[in-house]
Amino acid sequence: MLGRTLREVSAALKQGQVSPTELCQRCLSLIKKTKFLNAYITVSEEVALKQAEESEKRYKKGLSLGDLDGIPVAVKDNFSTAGIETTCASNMLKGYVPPYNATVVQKLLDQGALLMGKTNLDEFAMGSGSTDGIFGPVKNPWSYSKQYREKRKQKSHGENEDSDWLITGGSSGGSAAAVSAFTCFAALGSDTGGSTRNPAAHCGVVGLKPSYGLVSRHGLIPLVNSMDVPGILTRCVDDAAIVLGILAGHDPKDSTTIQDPVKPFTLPSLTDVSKLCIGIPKEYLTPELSSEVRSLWSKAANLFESEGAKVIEVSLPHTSYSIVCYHVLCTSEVASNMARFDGLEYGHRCDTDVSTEAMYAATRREGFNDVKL
Amino acid sequence: MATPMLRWCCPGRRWIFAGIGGGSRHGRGVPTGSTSSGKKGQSSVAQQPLITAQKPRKGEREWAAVVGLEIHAQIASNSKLFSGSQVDFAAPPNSLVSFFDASLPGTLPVLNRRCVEAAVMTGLALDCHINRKSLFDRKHYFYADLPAGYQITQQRLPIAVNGSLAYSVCVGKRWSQMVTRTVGVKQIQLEQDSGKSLHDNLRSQTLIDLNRAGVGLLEVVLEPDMSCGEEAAAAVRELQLILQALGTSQANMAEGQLRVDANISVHHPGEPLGVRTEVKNLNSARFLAKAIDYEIQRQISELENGGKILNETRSFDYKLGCTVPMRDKEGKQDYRFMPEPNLPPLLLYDSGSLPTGADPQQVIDIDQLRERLPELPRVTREKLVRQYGMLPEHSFALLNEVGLLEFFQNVIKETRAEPKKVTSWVLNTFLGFLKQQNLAVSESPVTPSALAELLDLLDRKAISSSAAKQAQCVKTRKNSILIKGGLPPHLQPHLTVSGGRKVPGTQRTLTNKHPEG
Repeated sequence: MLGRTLREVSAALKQGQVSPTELCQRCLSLIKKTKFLNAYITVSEEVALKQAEESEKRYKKGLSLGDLDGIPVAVKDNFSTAGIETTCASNMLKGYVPPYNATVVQKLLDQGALLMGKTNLDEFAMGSGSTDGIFGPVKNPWSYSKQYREKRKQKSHGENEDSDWLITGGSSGGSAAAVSAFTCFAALGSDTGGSTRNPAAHCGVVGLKPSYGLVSRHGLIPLVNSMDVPGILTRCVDDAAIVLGILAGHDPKDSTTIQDPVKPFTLPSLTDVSKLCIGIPKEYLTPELSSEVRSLWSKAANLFESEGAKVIEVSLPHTSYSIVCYHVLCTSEVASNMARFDGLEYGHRCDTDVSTEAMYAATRREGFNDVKL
Repeated sequence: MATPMLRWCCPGRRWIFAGIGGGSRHGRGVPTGSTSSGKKGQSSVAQQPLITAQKPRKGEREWAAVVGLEIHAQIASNSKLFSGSQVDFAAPPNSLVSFFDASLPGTLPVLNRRCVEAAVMTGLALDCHINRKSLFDRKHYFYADLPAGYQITQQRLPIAVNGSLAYSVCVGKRWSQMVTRTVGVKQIQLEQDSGKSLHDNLRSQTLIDLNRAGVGLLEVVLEPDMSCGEEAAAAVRELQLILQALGTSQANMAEGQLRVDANISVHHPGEPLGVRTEVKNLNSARFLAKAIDYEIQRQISELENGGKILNETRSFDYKLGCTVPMRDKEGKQDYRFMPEPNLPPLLLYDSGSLPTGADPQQVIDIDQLRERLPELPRVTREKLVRQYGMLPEHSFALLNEVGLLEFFQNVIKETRAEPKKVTSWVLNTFLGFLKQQNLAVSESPVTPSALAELLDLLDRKAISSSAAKQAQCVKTRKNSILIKGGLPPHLQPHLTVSGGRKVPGTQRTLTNKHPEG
């Protein structure tokens, strides 16, 4: 059951094959079993069970809220969740309990989703490994797959098995691991420079980065305001489309969301690709690309071509400047966004009370971590 | 409370200082953040500026002062510039703070329409060019009353630029000589106000009240076209009246709704401009001119004594009557200006460029705002002069006191006396009475009707002018007005007036009898 798609589970719930409470409890027990993955920072067991109860009442009356009603989801710990600790995997916000829900979280809750917990990440979403948070690294579920274990046993002799694990990629590693390990059906991540897509690739799940302005950032603790977007992690593309349909749309609380109305949509089931034209940017074929990745890429391109799609070479001439621009923008906006963490209104505050400046300095030294670029 | 009367000002005033030992060496040159030993921090007790009308003696050189102003006016709106929390001066501390004002992570700014309209209206009233596209920026510095660690302002492209403000100063020794000057309005920008810090030195702590954090401000930058404290004060006064007439700000300096920073430098005429200092937070109309004149004098003394002027920030010590360096603001601050990424460019339209089918709630039409602009003080004064034949300085005086113009117009409506008589009475006797009793017009026990009636009596010669002038007005418990004292006894009981209603029989009694004295 836990491995099914959203639509399948939703149908099962409607038909009464499984109840939201059962689903919830199974996911909670799996979370406990896979604790060694370190995917979750906070498991909101009580909240989830209560939500399951409500969902169950709705299903009994035949009044389900939609495809997400009663479905366990997880949320990256840089989204504000009312009443649930939100840490961004940093000492600075340890113990910080926001008084409001992020818009995307609210939308999920309004659809009846069950919040399993807050997932682990790189501190303040700065990183691409999910290894730099204060709660420790997230371990890729695939490190514990039979195939990988077999391979490792042959290669290493007497090495500590506990230390032999793979990273999830980041920064939304916790969300990717949670989805990949079947502890939830969908998870929210965030994407600034690949932080949803990167861990999705590492954990073998679908990671969708919506276009900037499509999904509200209100409540997403920002890294780079001009590039952040909430990301969606699921086990199949159809599920991602369902979640996007719920999350997309103008939010008056976020002035950078587009005003055009967004209609929910269903992905067409694509059997004929002959009308598709696929472009491969030639600048992306860099010398540093590993042969394994290059061969997979070619394989995918060939697959489309053999099925009748048109695969052509395109040029994105500014590609080489993108990383430089990214770093300039990223470092400026991060410095700006971190300026608010001074211990005065919320979050960690040091013990020094000699002067305001001393308090600021000590709080920020204690609360922040080193940034490894 | 009564507002200060217009002050006397010398046109193009030249500052002459009898220096010690002839010629003066004066500091010129680039502003620096470095400090020189010894000279910094002098704060002698203020001396009255030496104003002489003499020609400069041989060996002495004239000084000219250059004054520019940055004026912050709190926008009169129901909610703050970027959040929905209320704007209220007198609320309990930290009771009007939204999540965004407290800088809770994840919160985003949402622009307040009313604040934008206030900025456009003020720009139009000051003949500015309204930028159809303006941008928001972040100005960073760390301070306890700035929760986010940055202020959202408009540094690159403000909402209005290149306007002018006309104001009047009295020249010569008599009130009757007034000239109009103009000062350029460099720009008007929208920005956030900070919270308030209350320093409790007794307990070595600072208390922070965030009620004010995020309130919308209009920053009006006036070019350095002014040359003395009096001119600056007059310009500020006129701006105050304009803002109040527009309703865009209550502009009450005592309540912190209007705050002025002055940029001051001195130089010898014909030579390059001197190093300027900034005198911050001049929050009192009374001390505005004093503080600026003190600083001008201080700079002259410093230069005459061979010292240098530092490009520093100073504040005015009201008790000592002098400017002192501000310890907090030493050295040049790097504000690390950055575009505000959470706010798209602000686009304004006029009737020609309004997009079709646009939601009127979401767009601002500059032409519409222009049509709805209330009458500006300048126009009101011109009308008064034309309509009632009064002198220009009278029109200034009528607008200078809150509620006085309305009072005057109400008296005019109800009396048969000549407008010139009414003007004279209102400005001299009535206003004099209020000032003596330290009352505002709204607190006046004399109603316009009562004064109208008094003037009618005067007009008909039923009472003498001296009797009328001696009349004391007392408000009785039942809200009726007894005019007593100075009037003959046989008239006293007949002049009880309640709320404008006349007691029957009064008229006949008055016309039949002859008053005494």
